[in-house]
Amino acid sequence: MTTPTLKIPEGWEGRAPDGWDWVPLWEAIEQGGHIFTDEFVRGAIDAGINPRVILDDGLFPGFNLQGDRFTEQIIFIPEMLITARAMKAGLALIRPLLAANDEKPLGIFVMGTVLGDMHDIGQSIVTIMLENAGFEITNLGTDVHPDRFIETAMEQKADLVGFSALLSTTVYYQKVTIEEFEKAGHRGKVNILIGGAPTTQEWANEIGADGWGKDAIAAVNLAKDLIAKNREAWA
Amino acid sequence: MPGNATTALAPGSCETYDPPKPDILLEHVLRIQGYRDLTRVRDDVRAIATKMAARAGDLLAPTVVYRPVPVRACDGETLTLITGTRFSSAEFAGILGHCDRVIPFVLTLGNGLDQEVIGLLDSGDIVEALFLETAGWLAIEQASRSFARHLQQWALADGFRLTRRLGPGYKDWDLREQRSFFELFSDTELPVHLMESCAMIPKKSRSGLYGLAPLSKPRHNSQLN
Repeated sequence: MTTPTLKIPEGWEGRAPDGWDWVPLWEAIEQGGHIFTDEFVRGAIDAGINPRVILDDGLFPGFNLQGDRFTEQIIFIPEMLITARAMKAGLALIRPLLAANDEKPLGIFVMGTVLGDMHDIGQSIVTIMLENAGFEITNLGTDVHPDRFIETAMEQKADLVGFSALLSTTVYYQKVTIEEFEKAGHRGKVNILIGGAPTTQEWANEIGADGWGKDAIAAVNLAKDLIAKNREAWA
Repeated sequence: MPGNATTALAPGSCETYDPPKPDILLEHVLRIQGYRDLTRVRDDVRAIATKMAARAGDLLAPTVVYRPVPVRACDGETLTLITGTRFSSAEFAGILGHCDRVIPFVLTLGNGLDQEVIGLLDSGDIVEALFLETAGWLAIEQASRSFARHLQQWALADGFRLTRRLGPGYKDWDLREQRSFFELFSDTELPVHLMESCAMIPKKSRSGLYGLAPLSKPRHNSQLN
């Protein structure tokens, strides 16, 4: 096990006004201080710092540190969510400015819990983490029919679709939904990720998913990797 | 025997059992979320978990509806009940082979916890929702164990032992057979609504059946002690 450390963005001083200090924001994100984060990010915007710089230099270091700690099982989902809430408070201020600068989301992701499964929490956690990482998410909620996944993915021109299932009784519908994408002729147009407590990499392989997220952070990393691979393939 | 109106030809009457209100321990809630060393749980995390474990207690109203139903045949993978209802699973032959009756049941914790979780998610309190949901998982396990003990007492007094629990959707028992399963209770008002997709509302609900095997028959390794 390695002990994660804060990765300080190289050359950040050159991208901020003289005397500016991001340390309080890194600590606030790490500790989940969402009110402080809101106030600090407002201050950064008022100081004229580029929103992309606020995101990369101000918000991500603390968030990524907690993500690394989660991966190493030093912290668990509750701490990660407390950090995510602070991150969300900052992003809520930054996102409209990024959009105004014509910055595109990292990718478009359609998320939902499969047919027959009413469980909301797991996919809500993944949705928050993906949003914080820069994805645009359409969350279809629970008990989602395969046709709805397909229609939404095509309407949104989604890069990725995620199927959550929390019950051993409903993972079967992950397979069914992938089969429906194939029957509709859309399987090759999106990457499909699966996740949920009863799922495994073996199950993902068996049903032909493009990836399996063992937890929310793994799902985010997987989504980023798939987007990067797709961009390389198109380049 | 529960539902003692059962005969060789007809299902017994529906019975209701209300398990004691589950006692949700903070330690268990935290352990499920991965905390092995409870002394190292952050104060803010512990405070939320404590509040939600206590809150769960106020929201739970566990109840079970069940009835004994005679088995007409258990041939290979097909279980046929006296009602004519048929279910398929490779599990049946090994577990229900010696059973002349099964006890289908529908258990729920009620709607209170679901509503609270939805409200917390809507207001962005996802950590609170996570811990409340975790408390719900613990509660449904406790209620299920309490129900099994309740049945077992009756079964032993009548010279039977209870098999392991089976249910639509477990292993190879097709979840879509949930519809036929619920029809076994068509003459009574269930506290659980079955959706078109076979999902149950309230979410914290469980359906399944136990077999009743005569004590005189050899014990299958899946039967409860």
